[in-house]
Amino acid sequence: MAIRFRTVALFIALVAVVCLSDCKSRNRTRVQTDEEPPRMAAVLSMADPRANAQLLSGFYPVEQNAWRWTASKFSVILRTPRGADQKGATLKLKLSVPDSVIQQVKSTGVSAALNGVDLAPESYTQSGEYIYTRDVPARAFAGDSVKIDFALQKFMPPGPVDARELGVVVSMVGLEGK
Amino acid sequence: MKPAVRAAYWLVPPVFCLWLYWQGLKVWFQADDFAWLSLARQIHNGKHLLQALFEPMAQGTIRPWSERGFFLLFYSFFELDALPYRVFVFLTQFLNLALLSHLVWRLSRSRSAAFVAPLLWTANSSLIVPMSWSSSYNQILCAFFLLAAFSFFLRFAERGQLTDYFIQLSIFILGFGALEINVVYPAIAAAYVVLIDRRRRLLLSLAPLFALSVIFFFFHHAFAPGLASGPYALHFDPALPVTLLKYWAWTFLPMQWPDRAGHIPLLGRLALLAMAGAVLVFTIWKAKQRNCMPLFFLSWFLITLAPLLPLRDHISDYYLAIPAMGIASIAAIGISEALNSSRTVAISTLALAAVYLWLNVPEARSGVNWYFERSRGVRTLVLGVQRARELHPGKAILLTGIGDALYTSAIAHSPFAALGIPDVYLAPDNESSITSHPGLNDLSMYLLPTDSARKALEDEQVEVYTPGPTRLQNVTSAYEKKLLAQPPPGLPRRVDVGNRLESYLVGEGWYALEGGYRWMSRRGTVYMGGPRARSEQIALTGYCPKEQLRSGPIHLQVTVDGHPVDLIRFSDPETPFHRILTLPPQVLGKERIEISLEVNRTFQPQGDGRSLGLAFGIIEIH
Repeated sequence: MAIRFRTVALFIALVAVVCLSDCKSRNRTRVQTDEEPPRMAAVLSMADPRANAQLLSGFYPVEQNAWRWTASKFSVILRTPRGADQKGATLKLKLSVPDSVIQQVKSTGVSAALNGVDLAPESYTQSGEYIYTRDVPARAFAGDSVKIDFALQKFMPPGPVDARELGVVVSMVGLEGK
Repeated sequence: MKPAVRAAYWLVPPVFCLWLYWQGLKVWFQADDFAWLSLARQIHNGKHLLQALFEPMAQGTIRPWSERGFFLLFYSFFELDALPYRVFVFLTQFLNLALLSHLVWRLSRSRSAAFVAPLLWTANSSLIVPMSWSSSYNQILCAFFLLAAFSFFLRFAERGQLTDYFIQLSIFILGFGALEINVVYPAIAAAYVVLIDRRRRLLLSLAPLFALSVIFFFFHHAFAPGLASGPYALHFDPALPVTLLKYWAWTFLPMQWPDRAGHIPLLGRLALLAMAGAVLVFTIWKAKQRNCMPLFFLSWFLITLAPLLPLRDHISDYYLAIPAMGIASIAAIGISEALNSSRTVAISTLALAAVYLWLNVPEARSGVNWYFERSRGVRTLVLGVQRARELHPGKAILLTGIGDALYTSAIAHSPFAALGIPDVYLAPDNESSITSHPGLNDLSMYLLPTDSARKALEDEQVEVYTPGPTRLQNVTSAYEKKLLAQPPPGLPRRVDVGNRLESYLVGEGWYALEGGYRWMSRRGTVYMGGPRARSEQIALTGYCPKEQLRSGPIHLQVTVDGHPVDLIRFSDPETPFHRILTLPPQVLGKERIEISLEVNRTFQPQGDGRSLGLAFGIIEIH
């Protein structure tokens, strides 16, 4: 009988050890994957840390893990969507014009240029969220990637409160194939 | 016994078991395990818990302790860490080995027989599956309930104390939650009384247990009726003795023996004849000497195997896990007696035991290793996809390079849905590398059509992975290049309205996605490739809830490219519904057709501003 009690005690002890090994348990359920080197994207979310490599100039650090302030001029490089060199593509810039900007500059506007092709500007006289959308002709696409230069009509120059030149707030920029 | 001898007596069998099935401790989840793991996600209140534990599931089984409860409990503590599950299976088996040893000693009063029986049982290749696959824990747990109940019955027979009887009764009742074979326990106990004890009063004490077995049989039959067709259908026909002979042979000669490299068929047959013959001759010889103990263990084999014999089309060697301990016990008693007999008898008996071990031990080791290796691939895939989802939130995961093995052991059991990882699909090229298996989910359930895969890649909505030697590898760029270099395949002829990657095929009149389906308003349109042959039909899958029918039956008008196809009437709730309709000949061969679905009435659920028609899932031409 004694041996059976010992067996039961051993059984319970082993189960307890297993239960107490919870932290090791979590390590056993985590694996890694072999990821590709970062690819150039046709659509960039400002929240995505991998977007950094494609933001060439004029973007300030990401805020609230969602958006970035821009300067008066800002540039990105995007992957050319498949077939864009034949059918063209659509450029989309998801932006927000803050109250503070409108109060100071009254109105602003955004325009873009790709490979010497100028896209029509759009003006904003009220604060709010906008999507700057323009059709891009096929001739603007010559390679696997395309540099896009944005320019703002008006912006907030560096001041005592913020030493940065501030334009608009951007959350997404991308090219969509047609 | 001296303390050291006593320690060895109890410890050698579990240590042997641990040595033999060591890889079984490290095996990860596979196949049916994912259905049990998914239960935890379905439980939100006490009612759900009761349903999850007791509602008949796979093949009409109700096994709350060995399957549902086991997985639910361990998942709540350890989630996807398989080691604690495996440790628990091994611990239960160690208890079984101790109980079997105790049982053989009680009946034979031979320490050597009690020592050898668990060793021979452990070596039996029928234990490969239960010691390697968590879903077959039911065999191990059922063995525990049978052995424990019978041990207390023996105590009751010896001491006459009612406490032992009621403990036996309680264990017997609990045993129904492990495996249906528990129903035969009263017959095992009765066989003991008839063959060994022979007290009528003891036999009568088993009457309530027989009554419980009968009640369980009818209860189980009412709530989980037997299947009329398929591998789990019962057949009471002349195949029964053939099945019995097959199991009898597998008890000695592993089922996998013919697959062993360099095996000599004649040697296997001779070894089988010698071992099976020795067990039978010894049993008969002892019975003639009025010692029916081997006969009792033969009864154990037959009684525990009997319920499985009608499963003519589903013969599995692991079904022998519980019966095999009867034959192992006969052999152990035989060896024990042979050691006290002439040298010739002792040597020939030990030689037979050695042959048995030579045949079974390598199979057990390679079998458990096979399960381990298979589960490693499943682990890499499932946990890799989980990691990929963390790295690429919001993107779908497309899997390429999935072979038959990973499909049958993982994908076909929907592991990602079970673990709450949505939007995981098989890349279209898998269709040629995976063969369809009867009894498993249809491959098309998991495949993303080529056109949808191309669109998803172009729109950067998907990451593509393939299983590597140790990790899942992201191959999105290479796969994109390969797929986009191929000529466009045209619109798919199977549209999953509930799949966001196929949203571009969904026209006007639909609401936002809801977990694998989509509601339409009064009218909704879908675009897809047209039929390629006159015989092809269109199949609709959807949901018609009872709320939609409160004002009476509704009608669904199906139109293809403006040609009315059918008017479907729904008078009863159908969740889901399936309809197959004939297509108009005018759309034959068209690259793009428009399917229009229109109901004659919508309804507004309480607190929901939408006007809902019907919900749809897959629309397919085949």
